[in-house]
Amino acid sequence: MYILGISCYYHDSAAAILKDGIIIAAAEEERFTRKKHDTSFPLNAINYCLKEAGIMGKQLDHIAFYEKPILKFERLMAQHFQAWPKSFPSFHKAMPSWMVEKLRVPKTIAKKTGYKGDVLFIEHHLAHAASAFLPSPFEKAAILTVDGVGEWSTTTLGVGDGNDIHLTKEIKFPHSLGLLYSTVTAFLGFTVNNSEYKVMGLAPYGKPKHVDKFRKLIRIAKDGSYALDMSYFVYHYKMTMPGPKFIELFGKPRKPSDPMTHHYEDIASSLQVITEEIIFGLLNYLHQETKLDNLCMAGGVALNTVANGKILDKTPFKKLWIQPAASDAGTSLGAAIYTYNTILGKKRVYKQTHAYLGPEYSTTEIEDYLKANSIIYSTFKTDKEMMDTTAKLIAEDNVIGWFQGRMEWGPRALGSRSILSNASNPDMKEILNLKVKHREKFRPFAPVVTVEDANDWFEMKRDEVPYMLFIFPVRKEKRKIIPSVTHVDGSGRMQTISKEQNPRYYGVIKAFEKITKVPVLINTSFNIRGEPIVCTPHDAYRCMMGTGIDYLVMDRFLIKRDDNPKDMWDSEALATD
Amino acid sequence: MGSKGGFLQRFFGPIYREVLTPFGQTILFVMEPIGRTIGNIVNWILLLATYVIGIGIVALPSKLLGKQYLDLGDKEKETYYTAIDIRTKKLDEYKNQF
Repeated sequence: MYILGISCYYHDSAAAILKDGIIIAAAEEERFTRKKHDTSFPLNAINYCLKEAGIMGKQLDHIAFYEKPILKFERLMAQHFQAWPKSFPSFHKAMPSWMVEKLRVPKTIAKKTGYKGDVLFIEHHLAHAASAFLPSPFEKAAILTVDGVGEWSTTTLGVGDGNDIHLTKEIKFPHSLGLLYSTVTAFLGFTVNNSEYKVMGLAPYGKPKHVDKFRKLIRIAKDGSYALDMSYFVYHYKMTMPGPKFIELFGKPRKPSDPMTHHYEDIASSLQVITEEIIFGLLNYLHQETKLDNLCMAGGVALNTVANGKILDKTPFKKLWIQPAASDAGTSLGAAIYTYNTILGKKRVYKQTHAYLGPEYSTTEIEDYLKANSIIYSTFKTDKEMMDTTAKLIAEDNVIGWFQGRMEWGPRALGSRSILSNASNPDMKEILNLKVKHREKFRPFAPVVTVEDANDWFEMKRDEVPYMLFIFPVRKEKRKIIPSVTHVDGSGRMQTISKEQNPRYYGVIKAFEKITKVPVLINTSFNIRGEPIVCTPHDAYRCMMGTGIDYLVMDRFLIKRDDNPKDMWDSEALATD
Repeated sequence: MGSKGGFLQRFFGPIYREVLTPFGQTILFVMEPIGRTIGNIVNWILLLATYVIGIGIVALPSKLLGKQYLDLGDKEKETYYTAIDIRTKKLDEYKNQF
């Protein structure tokens, strides 16, 4: 039985496919179209899923969509009824896409995929909840989903038990922790629905001086529920987010070109404090209601890795699993798996243990690409030679583009489409920024560590963190050894890796440890700022040639940047938010 | 298009390449943004009419009667949760978009 899940038209369009209850492929549309957070109908991602399954669209048993469009449209109308006549600009911007595509989902799906059956519409937060619980290792768990907004819900609480999910409480639009975070993101001069993680990275530089101001615009009840005072916001009827009262309270908004001052850092820090307070409040109430030890989370706010790292300390929950594609992309997987396990009542046979669900290119395909484009390369005879040489190059402070196996599902590069470099070199953060990433200086780089060594280097509260969803303190005595991945507050957004999860990636770290005694590397996404993570061999080669990446290791091939023409393009000129 | 271009090319001979093609391209170059602008203006007028009349017909009486479509968080409450009961339903119910 084949079930396809689709999410699109808001941000992070994606598709995922199940074969007899097992996810065999999942990918975000942005990786194919090269448009970051692409919202369009995910035709490329669907075609990839169908190709991986070896079927045509008409052979699908079910297609599940990640929200109920008419419920969402109802919410949109309510916003305009409430705000009329002030909301015309947003009405003018939004309405054409609703008429042309968003209210015609079944027709679009039938036309573009050839699928003849009925489309199943799963509520947005239910799809999030399903993506968090059904692939988790738990038979029973409490579930929390928090994001910007779905149809009406912005936060839901519930329980997963066996095949069933029961959502019992919600907080409704316009009261939204995700949209509060986005409002501050906009206020700080970053792009909404894209740069929220930058605000999180900025927070440790500041002091939480403005927490009391935040308390004026958000009410938190004793049971952990919350409501925003909408007189401070305008996102419910305008294309912008902070309102005049918000600006009066926090001062002049930062423009993207403005310098980052302590004032803005303090606002980011205060927001992080409030965000954590709300998340822990919701979770403590959820535990009180469910009395369960296990917790599953999804929704964009579940990508707040700083808060995630503290959950087991600040709440009574003992075990936590978060969907690696916690943002809207993950709802395609959630809608598909909910259809199989819950609607159709089929046994839960899938436990998600890795995120390598995207496209893969064979050795022959990669070599054909290299030859067809007259690219100069050398070939490793064995995997060991490849891993040893890569480790040696990293130890010599080269920046390596690492392209191996199936592309990652979710927003993080986890060792398939990664840039690897030496975490021990104190200048490596600057080197990476200068050569490749062109990032804001305040943003940290993330470490990857072998799972068996993780506890020696980080104050871990868990056995493993394979999806880079948690931030833990780097052990004090190790901070000087890996300065490039130690953030200003002494923390690191780490990934652990085991041999079973990714043998080549693991092998490189082990080989690096043999040379340097350090089982930690910098792992950052294989892209430049403003572009999606690379997908194909061409994307990878293009990225290397437009940046200062020194070597590209693709499967068993080594491509040295200096051996090939350097005038391909200038990544720095194109780096955007 | 190819065969039409072929016919025009044969009929007009070198004039097609030297005069008509650049002329046609210039017309297209000028007309395309004009067409797009007219489309945008018509679109704007239609949407404005829909907004003023379609939304206004509900919004205006609602405002007069004090009806709220959104909870704007202006009142303190003991809880901001809304109770829901979302459970597994029959397959057919998921075919609804609402």
